[in-house]
Amino acid sequence: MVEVIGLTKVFKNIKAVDNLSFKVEEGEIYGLLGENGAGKTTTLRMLATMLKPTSGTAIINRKDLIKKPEEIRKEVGILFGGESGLYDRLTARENILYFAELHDMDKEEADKKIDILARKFDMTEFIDRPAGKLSKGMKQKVAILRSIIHDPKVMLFDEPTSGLDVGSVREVHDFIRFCKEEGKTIIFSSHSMSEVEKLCDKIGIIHKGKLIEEGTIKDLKEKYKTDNLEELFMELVGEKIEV
Amino acid sequence: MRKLKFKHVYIVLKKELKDIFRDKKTWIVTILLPALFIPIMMYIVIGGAESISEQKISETKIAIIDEGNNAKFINYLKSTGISIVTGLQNPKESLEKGDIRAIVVIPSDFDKNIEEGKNADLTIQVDMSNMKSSNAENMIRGLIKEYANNIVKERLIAKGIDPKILDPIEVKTENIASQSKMAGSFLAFIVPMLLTLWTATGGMGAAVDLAAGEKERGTLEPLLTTSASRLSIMAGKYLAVTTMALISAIASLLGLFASFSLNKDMASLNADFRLSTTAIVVMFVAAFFTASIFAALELALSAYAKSFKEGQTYISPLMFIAIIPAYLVMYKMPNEIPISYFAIPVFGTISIFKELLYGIINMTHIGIFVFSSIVYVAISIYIAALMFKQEWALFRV
Repeated sequence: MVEVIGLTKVFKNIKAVDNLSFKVEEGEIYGLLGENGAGKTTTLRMLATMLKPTSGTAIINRKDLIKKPEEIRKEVGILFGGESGLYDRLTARENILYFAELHDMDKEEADKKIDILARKFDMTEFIDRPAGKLSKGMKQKVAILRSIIHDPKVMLFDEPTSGLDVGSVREVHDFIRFCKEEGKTIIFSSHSMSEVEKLCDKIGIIHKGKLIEEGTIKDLKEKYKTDNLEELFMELVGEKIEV
Repeated sequence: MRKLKFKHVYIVLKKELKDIFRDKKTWIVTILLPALFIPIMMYIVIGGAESISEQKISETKIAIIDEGNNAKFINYLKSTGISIVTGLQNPKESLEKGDIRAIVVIPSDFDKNIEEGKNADLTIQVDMSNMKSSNAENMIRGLIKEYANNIVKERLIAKGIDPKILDPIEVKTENIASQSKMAGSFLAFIVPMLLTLWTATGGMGAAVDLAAGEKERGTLEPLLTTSASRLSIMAGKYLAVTTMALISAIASLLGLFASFSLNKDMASLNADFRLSTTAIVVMFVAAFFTASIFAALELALSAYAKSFKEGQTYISPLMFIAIIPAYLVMYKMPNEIPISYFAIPVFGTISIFKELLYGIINMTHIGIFVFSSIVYVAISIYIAALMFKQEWALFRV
């Protein structure tokens, strides 16, 4: 379970995230919807303890983000979009193993787990090949495995499908559903309405660092009397822009 | 900042070294280049000097224009072994083209004047714009001087005077320096600079790759989400950069010793030259401290840089920090080095290297150097750690 409480991040004079609060239950996918620069990545970076909040906090699996960042890291896995960020000269296995060891996993135990997951995600063929020689889709799979090797209870996805082809997008979506089946708490950021509509149980619309609307997709559509999420989004964000 | 965990430091160090050594470029830049640099440089310097100043007399081609019949002097020239080219249509043109190095013009009554005890003139035509031609002039002058000295001797003896009367003071130079000290002085001139340069630059490639490179590839962000603290990550990377710098310094030293044993001209210099075990240990300690300071600074700059390219731009000026003190100390004798130099980064390293190569082990100087270096290493590591802690530096876009 993740409870974000008044989370705020100020860079110099800019409020990137402004008093953000929301709650995500176990096994739930929460979609953070917003334009580029709305504050989605900053929020996820704070939840992953990469950035220190200016104020506010979050409770992740009953642990306080500010008080126990070390413990939070073991609970959280994060998958970034765009470049998958692998070490090209290391094999796919070595890439994953490096992160597993830095998460204090036993090397042998991690190695066995990599074999199991590689079979599950159809990666056995290239798991021992240098990452630099892999296709973009294969790299994304390695990044996926790397993000869950330490079995986190909370998964953060920061626009994980940006720049991927249709096939790879589908695999990422399947992986997100797999995480849900595993009972993980998931926060998923995107600027794609259709993606959010397809995957999320609940969405929060974020604009200029503030949460401007929140609810299940069904509730929101009923509230704003529209069937089109994109229209709804534009209406909300547009209103704020005018203000 | 969270605590340092040695297990994480070791994991990061192990991974970084594995990653670095799988890159062929690293082998070339960190090991091959420093190892080959000194031998190649020596080959060029020695080879170049030989070809200009040490030209052999038998390979020096000259022409003679004899305006009379001066067989005696010509026979003398022939006896020296100098190569006399005959049958040239236009000797001057040959000189201009560089086919011959000089022309000796002998006036008609040269031999006759000498025999009669008179003075005689000679002209040497050379092309001063050609190094080899101007060297040939010196060589011919030497030969003529020898010829003239013999004539003087003969004339004095004929008059019953001891030729020694011409040299009332005889100067003898005795070199009190042992062969080892002489070898040391040559090494002490060049080695400190090269060693410092390689310890400073050896880790640069790794430093740029390990922080700025990680940012550019997008590997730094996921790394920061692991259980390893930033301090542990920084420490592992820092040790990897230091290791690379030390490997470079060692490769450069091996290259130096190899060039000494392979080149026959250098071998004679090296024959009597030995570094004591203590000197080698102190040298390694000095290289270690220098590598440590540079590694931390390079890593700090790399962590600040947004991209690989920007990292290179920030780090390369550090090379001047190594070169300038090296140059300033290069021409100083060990006894001329001010004591304060041992407490200044880089200056201290070069001064210590210099003393060791002169066979001096001064514990006070080593003590000042080690103590001040510990302080500088601590400061530079603190700067690197600070940079890894700064969100504005790590997430600069």
